Amino acid sequence: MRKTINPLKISASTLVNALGVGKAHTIDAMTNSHSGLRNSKYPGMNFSTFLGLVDEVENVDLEDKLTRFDCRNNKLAKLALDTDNFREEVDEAIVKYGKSRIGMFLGTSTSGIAETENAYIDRDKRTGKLSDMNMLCTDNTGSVQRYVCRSLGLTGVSMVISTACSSSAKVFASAYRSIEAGFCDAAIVGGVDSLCLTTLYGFNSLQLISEDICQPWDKERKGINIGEAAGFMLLEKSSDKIGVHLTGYGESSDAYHISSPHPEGAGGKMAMECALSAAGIHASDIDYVNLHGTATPSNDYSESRGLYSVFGSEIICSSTKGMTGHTLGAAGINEAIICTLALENSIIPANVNLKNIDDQLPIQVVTKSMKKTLNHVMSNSFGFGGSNCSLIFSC
Amino acid sequence: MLNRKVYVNGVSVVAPGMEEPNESQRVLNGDADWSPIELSRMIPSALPANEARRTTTVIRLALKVIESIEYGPNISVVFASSEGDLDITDKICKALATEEKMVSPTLFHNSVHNAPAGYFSIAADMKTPSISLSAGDNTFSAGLIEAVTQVLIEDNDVLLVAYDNVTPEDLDDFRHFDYPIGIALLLSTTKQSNTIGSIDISVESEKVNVTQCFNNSLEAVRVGNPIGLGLPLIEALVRRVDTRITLPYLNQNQILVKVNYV
Repeated sequence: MRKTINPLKISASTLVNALGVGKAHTIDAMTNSHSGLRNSKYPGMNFSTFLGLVDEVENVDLEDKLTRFDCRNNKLAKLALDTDNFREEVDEAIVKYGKSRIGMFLGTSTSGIAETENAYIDRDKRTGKLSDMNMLCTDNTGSVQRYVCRSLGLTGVSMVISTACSSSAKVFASAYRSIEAGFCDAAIVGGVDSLCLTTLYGFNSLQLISEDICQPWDKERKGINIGEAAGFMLLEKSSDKIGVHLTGYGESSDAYHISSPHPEGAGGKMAMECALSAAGIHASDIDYVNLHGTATPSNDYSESRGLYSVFGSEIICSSTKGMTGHTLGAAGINEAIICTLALENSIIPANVNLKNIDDQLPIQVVTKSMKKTLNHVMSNSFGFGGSNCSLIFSC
Repeated sequence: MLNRKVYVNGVSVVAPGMEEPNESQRVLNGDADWSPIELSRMIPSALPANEARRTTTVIRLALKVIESIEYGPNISVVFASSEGDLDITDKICKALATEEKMVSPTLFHNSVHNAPAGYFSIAADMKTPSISLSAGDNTFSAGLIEAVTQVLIEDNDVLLVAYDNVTPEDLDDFRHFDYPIGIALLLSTTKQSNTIGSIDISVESEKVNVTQCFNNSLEAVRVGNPIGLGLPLIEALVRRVDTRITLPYLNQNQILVKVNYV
């Protein structure tokens, strides 16, 4: 049995996704059960699907001194930093801890790869050379932490975790370890992933993209809708246990297949059980699970089997990917913030777009949003390469 | 302050001219000059043939550097790479620049930064956690911090695998590395019969000169690839000396590593 962790207080957060810029839009969707997904096109795309686009990113300019980091991904990061009073909260934390004692742990899957895609598309036909770009500041997986550290004026330990769709869930584990080991006193965790042709055409080649709006847990589910999102949280050691806390995390590997989940959800089960041990609670203490729930036939099946083996059939759960799309490397933080909003506002969000419940799945989802006082909630994030992470938030 | 001493129970370096452990050892010990003899295809023996066929040079480099390390069944793994797989980025971007935009499914699932982690977990049947990270040119140091915190806080043996390949032709103008390199370190809270030494790391903001390679001929690899920056630490461990190594890190910081022969 794993030892319990010391809870970390979530003292600030910000969220941008297809529902809108700022947490209020996500709370509204959680209450009123609407989706931010639209049948829309990303430049250069020649097939039809629903996307979770953040239109406002088009109007963002990076700081004059940081234009070398200019790419859609870092613009999306800036949009979130400028929202929900987050910069002001970080400034206060800098006064309290010092700029070198706040760590930065961010997740992304594709970083600023759209810049590299464009360099190939705009290749000089005469010389054969790609058009100019700053790869280290845009395409490199570490780009977003370098940009965000500079934008916020932080100089502490920092890294980018890139484990596909579990990236910005695993950041909580790394931040916890660095705080406990004394490498920092507080930490910013987050995730940023933006639309790009690589993921659109990549998932399409694997036949995992739904032409229609995605329908997690539906009998007719056909695959994912890709979305983009950026979210950040400030984590601090807790003395008073008041407010929402990270109380558990669990990580595992499927060791099964590079892009298909284990059919019985064995890796997911291990991550969920590990998170429960870390939180020092039982499965019956969990009031709500925010599912990974991508809406591919095999993912939802695998997750439902894993959940059933941990919780039995009586667990309240929903996937919010029908609202935001699958935000890939930002899915962990997007859904972690949704969990904290559920705790703070006593709302269980509905699993939207559901028409016909898949009775082959042993666990069913909530189809209408519910008001309910919540104490412990879990968020699941499972990625390619069999990388699994479950988080528990409590208040 | 928590005692941050962790034991090093295995080290491995794979680079041109250092493909096999005995060659690598001689260069790291300062007994032979480094010379850049090209790496072989490094076909991974631990993977089933159908999985091995799908691996790329980067995945094979990461798996190769782990091969000579003797690890137990419950280790967790930290994979650290600045660029991941730019050969795949190149191929996918080439496909996306055509009218048809046909991306190969195998290329796409191999394109994730944690592809080597996925293949390793399958090859070793390892269901324990792994993490895959980057921190630009300071990726080795970031990986070392993550690995040390995992040893201390999760109380696990942790394998750090850091690797970066050379860049394909079209991208070389924008991100050039001179040589491919992989470095692996097996870290533990406990001293064992195979313990090489101990390390104790701290992040320092005071500017001091970063440590250069003891074997001067290896300097080309240290400065020719961001993962090469970890070489002075590996040399100190292989040479079994008590010393202090300074590695560059992000945000004008440096990592001070106290190395002790135990």
